[in-house]
Amino acid sequence: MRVNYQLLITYYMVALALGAVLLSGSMGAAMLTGILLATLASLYFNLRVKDKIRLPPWLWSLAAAGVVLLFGLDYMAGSSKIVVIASKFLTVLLALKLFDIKSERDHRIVYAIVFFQLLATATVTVSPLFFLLLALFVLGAINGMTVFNISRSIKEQAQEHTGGSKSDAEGTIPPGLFNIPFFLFIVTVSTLSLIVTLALFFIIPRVGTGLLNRTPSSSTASTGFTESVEPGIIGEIKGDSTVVMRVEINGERVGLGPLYFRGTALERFDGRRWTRGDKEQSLIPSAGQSLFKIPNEDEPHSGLDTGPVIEMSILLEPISTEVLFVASRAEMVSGQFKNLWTDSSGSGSLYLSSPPYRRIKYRVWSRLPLPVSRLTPLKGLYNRTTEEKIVAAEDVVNKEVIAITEADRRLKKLVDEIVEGKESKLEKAVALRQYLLAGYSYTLNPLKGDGLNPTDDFLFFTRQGYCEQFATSFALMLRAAGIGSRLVTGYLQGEWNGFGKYYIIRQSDAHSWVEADIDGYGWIQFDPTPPGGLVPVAKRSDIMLYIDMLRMKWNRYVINYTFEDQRSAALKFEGGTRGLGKWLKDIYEGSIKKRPSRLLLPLIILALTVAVLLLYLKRIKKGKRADLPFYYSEMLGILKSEGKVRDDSETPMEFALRIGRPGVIEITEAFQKERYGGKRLESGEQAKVKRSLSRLKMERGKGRAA
Amino acid sequence: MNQTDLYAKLEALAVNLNSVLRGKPRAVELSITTLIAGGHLIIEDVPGVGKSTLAHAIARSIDSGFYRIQFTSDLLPSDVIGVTVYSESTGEFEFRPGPIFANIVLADEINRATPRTQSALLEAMSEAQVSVERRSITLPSPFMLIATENPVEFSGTFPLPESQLDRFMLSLKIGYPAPEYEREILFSEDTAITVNNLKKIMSAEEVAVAQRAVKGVRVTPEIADYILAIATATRSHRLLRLGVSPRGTAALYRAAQGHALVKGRDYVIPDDVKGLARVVFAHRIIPVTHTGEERLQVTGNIIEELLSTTPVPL
Repeated sequence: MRVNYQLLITYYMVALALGAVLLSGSMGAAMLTGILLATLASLYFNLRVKDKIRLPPWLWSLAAAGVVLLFGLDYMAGSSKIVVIASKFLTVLLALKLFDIKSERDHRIVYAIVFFQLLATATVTVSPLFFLLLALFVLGAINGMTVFNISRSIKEQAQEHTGGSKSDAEGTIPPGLFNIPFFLFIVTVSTLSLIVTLALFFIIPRVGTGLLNRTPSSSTASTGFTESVEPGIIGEIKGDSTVVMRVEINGERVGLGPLYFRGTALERFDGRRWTRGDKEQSLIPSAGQSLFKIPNEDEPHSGLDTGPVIEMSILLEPISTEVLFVASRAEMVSGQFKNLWTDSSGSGSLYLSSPPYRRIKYRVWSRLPLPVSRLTPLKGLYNRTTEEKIVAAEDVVNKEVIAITEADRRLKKLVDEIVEGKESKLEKAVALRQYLLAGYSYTLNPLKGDGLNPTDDFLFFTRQGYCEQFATSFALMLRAAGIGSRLVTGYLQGEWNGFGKYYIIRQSDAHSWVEADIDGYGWIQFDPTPPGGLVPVAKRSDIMLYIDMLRMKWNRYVINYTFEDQRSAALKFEGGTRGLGKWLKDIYEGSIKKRPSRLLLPLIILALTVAVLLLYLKRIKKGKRADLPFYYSEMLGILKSEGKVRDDSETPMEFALRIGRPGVIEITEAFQKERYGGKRLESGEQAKVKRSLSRLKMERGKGRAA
Repeated sequence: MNQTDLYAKLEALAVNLNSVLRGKPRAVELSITTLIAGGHLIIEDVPGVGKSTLAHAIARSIDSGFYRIQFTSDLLPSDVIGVTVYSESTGEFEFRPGPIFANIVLADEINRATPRTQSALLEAMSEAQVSVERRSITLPSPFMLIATENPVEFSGTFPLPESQLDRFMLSLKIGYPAPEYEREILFSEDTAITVNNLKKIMSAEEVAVAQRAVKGVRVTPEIADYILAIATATRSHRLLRLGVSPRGTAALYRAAQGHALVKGRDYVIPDDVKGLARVVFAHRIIPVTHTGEERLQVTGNIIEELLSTTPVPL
C-alpha cells in the first residue's frame, strides 16, 4: 500500500494540537466535537475527494478572513481571555487549513499553526503532559522536514532524468524508504538535539554573564568608592572611568543641581581615617513585591526643607561593596534582592546582604534635598522650637559624631573665630562652609605637607586639596563648633547620556561630602567642595555615549529582562487592547445604538483613511523596485560568487550573453517573461529554470575544485 | 488574426525583405519595427547600398499602394500633394491626388528639394492628412514615408530642418554589405526583378492590425522610467546643444513596443529600448560642434555613451 507520509505526519501534528487544546481546557465539548468531526472529514476529503473536485483558491482565503473577523469580534466583546480566544481561533483555522492542502507549503503552514497552538497552550497549562506534547511536536517537525527534503530531491532527480515534463508519476518515493530504522534514526537525532538544546539553555546564561559583562566584577575593587576614607592617601579615583551605575530618571534630566548618590555615612574619625564605626545593622521589613520602605528617623518638619520625590531606576554594575547607592534621601526601594539592611543608628545607609556579584537593577524613590541656601527662610520655625530642640539634640546625639581629636586645639580656635556672632547651628554651618569655599582651592594633586596630620596640612598650610580633604575638614570643623557631623561617601550625578536619556556614573565620579545634624532640620547635606570639583572629569565623545546607550539597552532589555518585565509587558498589552474593546463597546452603547446616523461620519473618515493608506501603499509599491524572482536573484548570487557581476547599465540579456552559459540565458529569458511580461511561468518552464539553477550550482562547485 | 499568426506574418515579412537586402537583418528588422509602430523612416547612406531597394521591397511585400517621389530642387509642393484642376466634363475643379496618396511613399533624396517642398510633408507625416485649399484630406492608412538622403553630396542640397527630422521615428544607416554578401549580389539576378517578384505577405488591413497590436505591448513602469532616464540625460549632456523632444521620447516608447512584437514578444524588455535608443534619438539631437556628414555618427556615439552610464532597471 502506498502511504502518503506527508499527510500522515501532518495529521499526527494535528492530533498534537488537539491534545494541546484538550489540555488547556479552553474549548467546550460541543466545539471540540465539531473540530474533531471536521478533522475527520478533512482526512476523508484529502484521501478521496480532493483529486476529483477542485475548490476555487479564493474560498479558503474568504473562510480564513471570516474566522479572523469572527474571533476579532469575539475578543472585542470581551467574552474571554485573549489566550483562550487565540487557542480557539488557531484550532478553527487549523481545521479549515486541512481542507486546503495542495503543496508542501501548506503542510508547513499546518506545522506553524500547531506550533502557535502549543505556544498558546503553554501560557495556560501547568500540566507536565505539555512537555510530552512539545517533545512529540519537535519529533514530528524534524521527521516531517526530513521526509519533505528527501522526497523533494527524489522528485527533482526524476525530473532531471525525464526532462522535467512529467512531474509526479516518476517522483514516487521507493517503498520501504521510510521504514522503522529510518524513524528510529529520526527519533535519535531529535532526542540528541533536544538534549543539546537543554544543555545550552542551562549553560549559556551562566557562561554568558561572564562573557557579556565586559567588566569582570573583580576589577571594581580597585578604586573609587571606599568604605573607609583616609584623607591623606590620594586615590587615583578621578582617572578611573569604569562605569559604576547607570541611572534613569523617567528619561528626564534633573534640574536640581548635582544629584548625590549616597553610599554610606562614616561617623568615626580616629585622626587619620574615617570608618563606619561598630554599628549594628537591622533588616528593613519588606513591604511585599520586593519593595522596601526606608525608615527615616529624622522626619522632615512640615516638608518645607525638602524637594520633590523623584523616581529613578538604577542599573548597578558588579561592585565589591554591599552598600546600595541611592539618591539621598531615599524613601522607598524596590529591586531584585531579598533582604535590605540599614544602620540601626538611622544614618540612612543601605546595605545588601552581600556585594552584588552581578549587575543588579533597582528602583528608588527619593526626596531630593533642597540646597542649603533655600533653607534659611525657615528661621521662624527654628526660633520657635529652638529651646526644646537643643535639649532634644543633646539627648539623642551620638557621642561619636561630635568626637574630635584632643590635639586639635588649633582647629577649635579657627572655628571659634569663624562662627563668632552666629547664633543658630545652621548659620554656623553655612559660615564654615563659606570659609572653606572662599579660602581653599580644589586640586587633584595637592602639595605635600609634613604628613603628620593631613587635615592640619590642608587647613593651615597647603590650603588646597580634593573632596575628601574638604569634607573631612568641614566635618571636623562642624564638630569643633558643636554640631554633629558625618562624612558621606558616594557618587556625583555623573555624565548625562542624551541618546539613552540616563546618567552614567563612573568611578571617577566618586565623591565625599558631609551631613550635619542641624536642630529643627535633622541631618542636612552640605558639600564643602568647591564647584570645580563637582564636574565630571572628562567628557566622552558622542560615539562613546551612543555605544554606552546600546550596552545599557542590551543590559536592561536582554540580559536583565526578568519574568516581571515580561509579565508587566503582557499585562500592559492586554490591558491596552481590552481597554480598546471596552471603549468601542461604550461608544456603541452610549451613542450609536440610540442614533445610528452618528456612525456615518466616523465611517466616512475611516473609509477615507483606508483609501488614502491603500493609495499610499500602492505608491510605495510602485516607487519601490519589485522583488526579483528568487531564481534570478539566486543566479545573480551564484555568478557573483564567481566574480561575475552585472554592470548597472547592462540589460539582463546582455549580461547573460556576456556570461554565455546556456543555463544563464534560459534563466534570464524566464526572468524577462515574468518580470517584464508579467506572466507566470508554466510548470515546464519552472522545472527548466530549477534544473538550470542546480546545474549552475554544481558547476560552481566544480569551478572551485578546479 | 491572432497573436501567433501575427508573429508568423512579421517573420515572413522579415524573410522576404532579407532575400532582397542581403546580409542586413538589422536594417530589415528596424524598418519593420517602424512600419508596425506607425512611424516614418529616414535612411541616410551613400548611394547604391540598397536604400531604395529596401523601401521598394517593403512596399511590394505588403499589398498596398506605393509611390516613389524623386526629390529635386525644382520639385514643388503640388508635385507631392496633388493639384486641383478644372474638369471640362463636370465643369468643376477637382483634386488630383499627388504621389503622397499611397500607403508607402519613398521620398528619394529628400534633401535635394527646397525647404518649401520638404515642409509640404510635415503635416502628412504627423497628422496623416494633407490640407488642400482649406480642405483636409486624409491619407490612406497605413501611411509610411521612407526618405533617403545622401550625406556625402552637399552641393545643391537643403539639409532637413529639425522639425522635419523629429517627425521621423527612426534614422537608419544600411552600410556596405559584408564581402560574402556583396559577392552573392554579383551573382544574383537583377535586383529590380527580384523586388518585383516578391510575394505579398501582408495586406494593408493586416498592417493596421499589427499597428494596433503594437499599442497593446506591455511596458512596465520601470522600463518607461528607463526610457525617460535616457531622454533626460540627452537634455543635459555637455556635448549636445539640443536634447530629445517629448516627441522623441514617445517615439522610443512606441518603437520599443514595435520591436518587441517583431521579436515575437508582447512585452518590452530593456534590450528593446537600449537597442533602439541610438536609431531613434541620433537624428533628433544637435551636437555642440559637429555638423554635416558626420553628425549622425557623432550623436550616435553620444547616445551610446549615455547608454553605458544609464542604469538598466531590473
